[in-house]
Amino acid sequence: MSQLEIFFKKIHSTIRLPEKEASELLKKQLTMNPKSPHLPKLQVDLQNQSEQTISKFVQDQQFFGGDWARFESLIVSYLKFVRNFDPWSILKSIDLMINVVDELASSLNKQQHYKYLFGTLVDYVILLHPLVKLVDKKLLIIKKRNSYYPRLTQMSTILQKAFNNIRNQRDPTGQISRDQQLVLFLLGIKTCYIYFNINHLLRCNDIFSNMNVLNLDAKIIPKSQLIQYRFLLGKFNFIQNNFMTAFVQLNWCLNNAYINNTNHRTKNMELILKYLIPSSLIVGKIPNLNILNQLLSSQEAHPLIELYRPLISTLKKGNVFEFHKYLFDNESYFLKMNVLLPLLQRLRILLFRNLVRKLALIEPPVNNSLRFSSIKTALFVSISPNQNAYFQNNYSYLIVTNESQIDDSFVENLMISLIDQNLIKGKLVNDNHRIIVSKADTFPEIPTIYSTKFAVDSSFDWLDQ
Amino acid sequence: MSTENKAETKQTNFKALEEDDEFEDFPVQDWPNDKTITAEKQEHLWDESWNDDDNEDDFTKRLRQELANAEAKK
Repeated sequence: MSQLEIFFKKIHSTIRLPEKEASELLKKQLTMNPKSPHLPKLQVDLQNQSEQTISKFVQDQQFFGGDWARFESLIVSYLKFVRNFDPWSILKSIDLMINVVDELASSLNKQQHYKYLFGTLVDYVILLHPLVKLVDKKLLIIKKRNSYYPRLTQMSTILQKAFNNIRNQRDPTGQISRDQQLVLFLLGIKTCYIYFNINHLLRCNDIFSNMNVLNLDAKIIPKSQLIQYRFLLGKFNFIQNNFMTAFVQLNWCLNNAYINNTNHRTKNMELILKYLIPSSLIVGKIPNLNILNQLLSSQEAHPLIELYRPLISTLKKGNVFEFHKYLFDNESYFLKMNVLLPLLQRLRILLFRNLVRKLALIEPPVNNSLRFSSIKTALFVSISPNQNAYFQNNYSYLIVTNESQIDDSFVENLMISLIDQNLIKGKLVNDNHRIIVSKADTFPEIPTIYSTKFAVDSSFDWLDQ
Repeated sequence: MSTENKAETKQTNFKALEEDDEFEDFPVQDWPNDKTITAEKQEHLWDESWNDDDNEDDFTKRLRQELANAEAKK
């Protein structure tokens, strides 16, 4: 019996089995993993067979009683891959592999039998994503282009097709089955990864919106997948400047990270903290950096943690110039993280709140009064306009362009902003040269104020079931 | 170390963090809650205060001095 006949016979036996068992077996029979022993033997058999002959062979098998044309196309595509696969060249083989996944994705619209392909689909997605990414990135360098990912783009379309086909299926009770949910979740994660790879970030919103309406049961999803999904959700919201949603999702990832394996713990936590720390500052929370160093099992101070230590210190002191200087000195990192402008713009008001608080500690209010003149002096010291040249005319870092701009109007505007945002309890006096502040709780705790200021998007609540 | 060199060094150190944001392979696919950070009881991770009560740092000393100078001029 030829290898091809053996191959067909195995498939016939497999598709007679119950769905779950069949899915696991088909995954092995249709594997594209070059380490699989049946591939080289099958390749020898197929060497002299034309496309028409292969198609005829498959058609003659009448898989599923000839009732599933797409499955036949999938098998033909797979055999063509096996015939032409070059184990020494990903570049020569990758398009063949993509074609097989494409055929599989199209096959998933068959309500009766689509679950037979779950195991194979998962196997293909896990195998192909790194290979496709590798090919596109290498060709990008060779062809000296900035942003051109044709195969990743094609994969994203294929995965989206698979997602939509599976999503539309329902079991006899009208529900989405457990296996369906697990596959949909994995597809969602992989598709989002690819959208990030090819810089089509907004398309991640399609995935998130679709997931939100599917009524999935988060309890059945393994933590490793939940962490990846919620990380992508957090990162997406971070880039969209929805920092409270980003903080909630990323904090969940940190809290549920696996802690037993030290290397895994460190690298994966770094990834989460990269976005979590700046998010936390912007939504009014300061992390305990010593605890974070412990979590990273760091014998010495971890560079990511130490990056933020001076920033947090200047922020708490209300030292505007040093805060801006630190961001300026590390501008390229914060720019690449897409967080430079949010840190500059959103933390400014907190800088001033902390400065005024420090002033009130040094010069306690007399008759509950803070004088404009003292506030002006504090602003001169903090902003240091005579050092503006340090920022080389980069206006993002300049509060004022010269000292004379720190006048009564400036102070009045600043104090009204702080009072209006509930960061100081007080009021302006009519003569506009004093602020009357509350005797108690003059400077309310920032986390308390910000917890009401930032709403959390409730459409992701299903993840916390 | 000059400011320029300092910035360059910091940028080099952090370069490794800018690679593709994909997780290292998980050693297991799922794990119970007692194998997570929450189990290590890090409730105070986000409890740090925004209030800086250090009065002996350079900035605070400079501020105090300038306020005293301004008061003396009146």
